[in-house]
Amino acid sequence: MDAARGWDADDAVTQIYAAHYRSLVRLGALLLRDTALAEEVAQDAFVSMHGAWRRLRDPDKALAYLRRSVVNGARSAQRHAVVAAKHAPRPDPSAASAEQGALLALEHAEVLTALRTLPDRQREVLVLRYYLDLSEVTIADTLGISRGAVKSHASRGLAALRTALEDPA
Amino acid sequence: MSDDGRRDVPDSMPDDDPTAARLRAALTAEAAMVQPDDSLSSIRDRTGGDRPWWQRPAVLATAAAVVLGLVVGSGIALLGGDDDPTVATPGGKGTATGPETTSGAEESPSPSEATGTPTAPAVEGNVYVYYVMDQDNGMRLYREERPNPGMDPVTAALSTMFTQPALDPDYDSTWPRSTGIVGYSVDGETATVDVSDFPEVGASAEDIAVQQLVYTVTANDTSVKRVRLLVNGKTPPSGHQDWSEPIERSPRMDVQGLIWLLGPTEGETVSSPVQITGYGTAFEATVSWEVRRQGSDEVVAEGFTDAGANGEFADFSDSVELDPGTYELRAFESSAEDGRPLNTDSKVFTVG
Repeated sequence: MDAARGWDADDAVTQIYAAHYRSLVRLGALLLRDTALAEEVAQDAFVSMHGAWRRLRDPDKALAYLRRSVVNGARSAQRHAVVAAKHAPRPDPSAASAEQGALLALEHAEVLTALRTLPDRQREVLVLRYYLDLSEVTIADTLGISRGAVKSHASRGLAALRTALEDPA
Repeated sequence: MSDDGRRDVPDSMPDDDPTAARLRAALTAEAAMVQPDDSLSSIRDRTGGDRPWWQRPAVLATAAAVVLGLVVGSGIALLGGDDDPTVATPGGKGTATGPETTSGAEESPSPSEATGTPTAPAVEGNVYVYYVMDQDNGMRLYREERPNPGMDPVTAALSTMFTQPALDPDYDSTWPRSTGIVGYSVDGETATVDVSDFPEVGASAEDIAVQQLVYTVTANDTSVKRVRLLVNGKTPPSGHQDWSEPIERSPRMDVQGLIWLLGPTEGETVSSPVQITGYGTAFEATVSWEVRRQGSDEVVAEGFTDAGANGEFADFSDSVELDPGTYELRAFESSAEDGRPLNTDSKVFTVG
C-alpha cells in the first residue's frame, strides 16, 4: 500500500485506529472479559505502535504488532489479580435482542464461561481463530509459537470446551 | 477475504466442528456488546508533542539497547523498537498529560440488534421500492421509500419500480421501463404478480431482477411470503431458470446491499446537526462515513459507527455538524486489506 509509505507515526496511529481500534478492544475484551481494561490495553498498544512505526512502516506489520501487544497486554493484565475484582458489569443480555435473546444469551454465556477455564494459550488461540478468523500461520506469528503448537492448542482447547459443555460441572 | 492475516484458504483447524461453531457464535455476540469509547485523543495525548527523551530518534539510534534496558528496568514500558512488544501493565499511563482515558465501565448495551425487517414500516402513505446497484460482490438490492399515489401499496410500489427511476442516480432497475402490471392477487401467503414484460438479461441479472420484485412485494405486504411470477399469464420466458414455482426472498447476505444509507435521502434538505441513518452489516460491524462538499474531493467530516456483523444486519446512526451547503455523504466498509471502501452507498443532500 503505497499511500502508507508517506505516513508518519501520527498518521499511522490515526489511520489504523480508525480501521482497527474497535476490533482490538474487542479482542482484549474477549480475553479479559473486562471492557475497561481491554480499552487500556488497546490504547497502550497504540502508544507503543506509535513509537515503533519508524521501523514497522507498514500497516499490516503494524496491525500484527498491535495484535501481539493486545494479547500480551491482556495476559499481563490478567496476571494482575485485581482483574477478577474489576469485572465490569455485563450488559443486560435480555436487552440485546427481542426474539431469541434470552436463550441465545444463556448459550453464549455457557460457552464463554467454559472458555474462561482453559489455559491462556489455548484460550488465545481459540479467540484469534474463531473471533478474528486468523490463519494458523498468523496465529503462530502473533503468539510467537510454532504452527504445530497452534494446532495442538486449538485441538486441545476445543476438546476441553466440548467436554465442559457436555458435562457442565 | 483479505490478507491482513485473516484466512483465505482452509487450513487444518476445524470450522465445521459443532463446538467451534458454538464458540464462534458466542465470541461474535460477546464482541458485539463491547462498544469502546473513542480514545484517539487520549492516545494522541500520550504520543504527541514533547516526546520523552527515550523516544527521541537520536537517542533511539545511538543507544537503543541501553534505553531498552533502562525503560524495562524502571517499569515504564512505553517503548517502540521491539518486535515482541510487551505492553505495560494497563493503568501505567506513562507520559499522559491530557485528560484521563474514559474507560467504559458503564457501557450502554449494544443498540439495536435488529434481525427482522429493517427499521420501521414505511411512513403511512409511503411504499418501499427496491432498486439495484452494482458492487464488487455483484448486483445488490437497495431500498427507497417513495410516496404512494393512493393505490394498494404493492401495486403502487411495483409501478414505481417499473416506471420511475430511483431518486439515487447510482441505483437502477433491471426491469424494462415499459413493464406494466397485468394483475395482482394474494392467496394466503402467496401473491401472484402478472406483468407485461420480463428482462432479457444474463442469469445473475435475471436473478436479481426477480429478487427486486419479490423483495418489493413482500416489503409492502408483510403477510406475503412468496411470489408466483407470471408474464402475460404464463411462466416467465427465461433462458436461465425455471420460475414456475412461487419464489421466496433469497437470503439477505446474497442479494441485499450490505450497507444502506437511509438518511438523509437523496436530494433532501436537512438542518445541522445532520442525522445519518442506515442499515447494514460489515466486518467488525464498523461502517465508516465521509462527507464531501458536492463536486469536491476534500473530505470535510468523517467518522464511523456500528451496524451489524457476521451476517446480521442492524440499524446504524451517527450525526455530523455541517455548515449550509450541498454535500455528498458516503457510507462504506473499509477493506481490512487496504482501506479501500467497499459496499459504498452515497447520497447528495443539502444543509439549509
